[in-house]
Amino acid sequence: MQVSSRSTAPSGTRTQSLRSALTSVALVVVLAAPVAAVLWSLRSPDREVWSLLARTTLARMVLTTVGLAAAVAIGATVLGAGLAWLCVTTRFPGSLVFRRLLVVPLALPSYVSAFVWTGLLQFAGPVQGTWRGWFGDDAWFPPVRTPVGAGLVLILSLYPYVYIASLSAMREQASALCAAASTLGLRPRAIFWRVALPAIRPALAAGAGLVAMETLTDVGVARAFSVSTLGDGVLRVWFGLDRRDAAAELASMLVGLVLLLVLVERLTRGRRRFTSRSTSPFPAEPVVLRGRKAAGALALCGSTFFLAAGVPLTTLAVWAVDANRRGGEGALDKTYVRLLQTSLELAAWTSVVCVAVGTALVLLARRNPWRRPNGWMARALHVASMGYAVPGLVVAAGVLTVLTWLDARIDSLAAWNDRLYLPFLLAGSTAGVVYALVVRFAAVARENIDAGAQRIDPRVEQVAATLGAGERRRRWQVTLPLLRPSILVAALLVAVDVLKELPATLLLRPPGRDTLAVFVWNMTNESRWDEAATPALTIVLLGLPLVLVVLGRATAPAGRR
Amino acid sequence: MSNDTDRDVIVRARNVSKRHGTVEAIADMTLHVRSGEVVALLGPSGCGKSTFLASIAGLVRIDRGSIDLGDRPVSGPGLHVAPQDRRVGLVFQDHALFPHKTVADNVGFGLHAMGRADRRSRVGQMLELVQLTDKGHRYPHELSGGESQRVALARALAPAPDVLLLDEPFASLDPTLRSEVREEVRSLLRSVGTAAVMVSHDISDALALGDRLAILRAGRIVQTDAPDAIHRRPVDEHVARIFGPVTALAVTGTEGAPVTVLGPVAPASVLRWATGPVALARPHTVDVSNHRCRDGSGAAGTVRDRQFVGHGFRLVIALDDGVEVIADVASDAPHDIGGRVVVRNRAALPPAAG
Repeated sequence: MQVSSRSTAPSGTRTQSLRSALTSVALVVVLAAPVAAVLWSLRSPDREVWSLLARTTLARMVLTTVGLAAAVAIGATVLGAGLAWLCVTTRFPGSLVFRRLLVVPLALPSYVSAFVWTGLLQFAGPVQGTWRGWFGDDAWFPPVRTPVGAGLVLILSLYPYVYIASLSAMREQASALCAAASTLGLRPRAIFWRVALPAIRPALAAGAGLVAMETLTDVGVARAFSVSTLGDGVLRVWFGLDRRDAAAELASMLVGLVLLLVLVERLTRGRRRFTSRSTSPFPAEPVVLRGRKAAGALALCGSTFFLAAGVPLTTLAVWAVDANRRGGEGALDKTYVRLLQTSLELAAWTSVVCVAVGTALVLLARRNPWRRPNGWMARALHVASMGYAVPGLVVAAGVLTVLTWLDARIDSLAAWNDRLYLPFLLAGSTAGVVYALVVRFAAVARENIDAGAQRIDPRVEQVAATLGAGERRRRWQVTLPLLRPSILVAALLVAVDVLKELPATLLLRPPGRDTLAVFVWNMTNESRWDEAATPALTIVLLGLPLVLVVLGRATAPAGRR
Repeated sequence: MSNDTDRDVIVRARNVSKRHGTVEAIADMTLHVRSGEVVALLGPSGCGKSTFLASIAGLVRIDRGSIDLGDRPVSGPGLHVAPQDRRVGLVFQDHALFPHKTVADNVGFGLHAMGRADRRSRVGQMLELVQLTDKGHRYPHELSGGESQRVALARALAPAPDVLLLDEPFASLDPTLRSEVREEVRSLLRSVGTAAVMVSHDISDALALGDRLAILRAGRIVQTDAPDAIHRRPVDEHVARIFGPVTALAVTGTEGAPVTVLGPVAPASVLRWATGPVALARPHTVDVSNHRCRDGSGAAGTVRDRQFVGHGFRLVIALDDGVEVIADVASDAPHDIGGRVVVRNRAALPPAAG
């Protein structure tokens, strides 16, 4: 309709506005429905299960969850920021290699590290066996399956979030400030505490927030270390008691905790702004460490990498070789191929839909190059794509509620025909899983595509308009081609996230459609670690592109991201 | 100014106003551009000149007033023709080339209605016009600043727009390249003969291209005229200063024999400003000597400051009655700071007084 010449504005634009408003509303409804459904179900809680929980484990579960999240966030922040500071401001043997290697644990889902460590350190495992060989059968060994163990594994697998955030913040924001501070005569230690740390505070807060969120919504590590968290509780109510509504209600407590986290971050930030736009053309020369200091730095980086990536990867490789030599489950056989195929299919579908939704959200927000995005609409679109902040458990529960409701409608519509029996048309389908994963990861796609769109000079689109290109032609010939790199990266990131995703896939997968991650979960729940190794290793390898993307961004010259 | 019934008026903007939130970006702007004419809008940044340009292009929806392009109303009450339907060419300060398209595809972008063969020949023609025939396969990032400027012009001119809009076209070029590109664009516009509106904060850019100047201040046009006319008869001191330092001397005496502190002036050179009648003294028209002339005209004063400006010295002279005059003198006739001098205004003298 835009093509018609002389589209005198009022009528033409109004139809356009209406159409894009309707599209926006539809997207918002579809994306927000599951979470809304969970929150709605809180109106009529399952009193039986709640009172049971309240009498027994609820308080302990909440305390454990919050405590674990806080401890892991602090630990990962100290470790991640410390390593980043070391790698940016000092040189020691191997420092440039470690700067990159320290990102690698990002490819290891925390539930994989968790089962490797519990497998290694369990009573019958190789470590305790050797230990008893040295010190006798009654030798004391620290208990493994404790909240402390879970916390340590979570810190080791989540610190990269903080590490990456501080790496780029230090390069982009702190470099000029640090250079200025050093000309003012501050010593390195003072520069760290008084200049660099305040400058990278927002990055640290964002990283720590992400770590806390991942911890709050974790199910794999908690299960492996037998720590009773809220996430684990949701699974127990869902599978153990088979009370899905109650599970969804319990999961909504997680939403509350996540919201609380966001609120705390906003409040502590206050009016202050920490970003400084000036980047120094002369980044401070790194300090060359020698002797004992160099050895210390090397030991810290080395042991972190060794524990977070080296040990898990080696162990997985050894177990995978064992499992394959022995044959049976977990080997590279037909089952494996089917798992891989299911995983890849799910990743491909989700990534295509997410990219389409993300692109639509971004384009809707910047429809006309000469008009500012509509306030309420932009905000609604933003809220709708916050799925990443919602725990996968909640999304899964919500999606199930929505789809069950839809199925009931469809079934009643089909009831006039006796031969049509459609009880679980949507709820038990692959489409249902994809829906949940899209709700969860659309934000990942939107954020990446939006970052790409921010880099497009609006004047390029305006010039296209004056050259006679209508909205559609501008979109296809200018905006989308310029967005293509960001769209491809977004698709990749979503695909990797889907391959790793556990709770939503676990709760919603149709029978016989297990993914690699679900298989790993099932095997490790039965302590069949070596059989989980091959699929787990596959997930890690497929996640390596993520590491490369992240590395490329964190080490790209400032201002070109 | 121009007559509303002029048949060859290409852009007819009447009482155009636009608010950005509570800020009045442009208010009541009226401007006519005739065919083949280049009008330069001159004003400091933030004076609303780019908003006016965007209003003509249709990138901004105006609040009040109307804009016609040729005989087509394009903006007005209840009317807003989309930019793609206006037939205007637009060149931005940083050129805004499509980074993912080659030079030839950039130039051909506005020619999508043409057949393939026609388009190719038109692109070739445009590239020849801007002397980039051999660069058609380059991508924008492989071009120099001057080259990408020329591509932007070729792209804007390719669909033969009714009017070409140039938004600070030279601001992104470094000073040495700038004057060179300015000359190229000047001769290009002359040869094409397209009407153009150019926006700039730089008087030399405006003088290089503009057949007429429109001086903007705080969202309003304060004066529109040929450059030399504005130079001769600016409407106020701000406009007068656009062309460089100037001293506005209050005029006394009768209407037939006006007088300033620097002596009598021609009645025709008296400007009737809101602050009262004045005559202008520009540095190069002020004569400085050590002695009073034979006819006794001129005013005595003291040299307060002296600065070498290339072709000579620029003096700041405080007259004994408190007025400050700026005068340029040849470098072989230096006057020391603190020295006593006599000052006369050559340009404003009545012709008969010699």
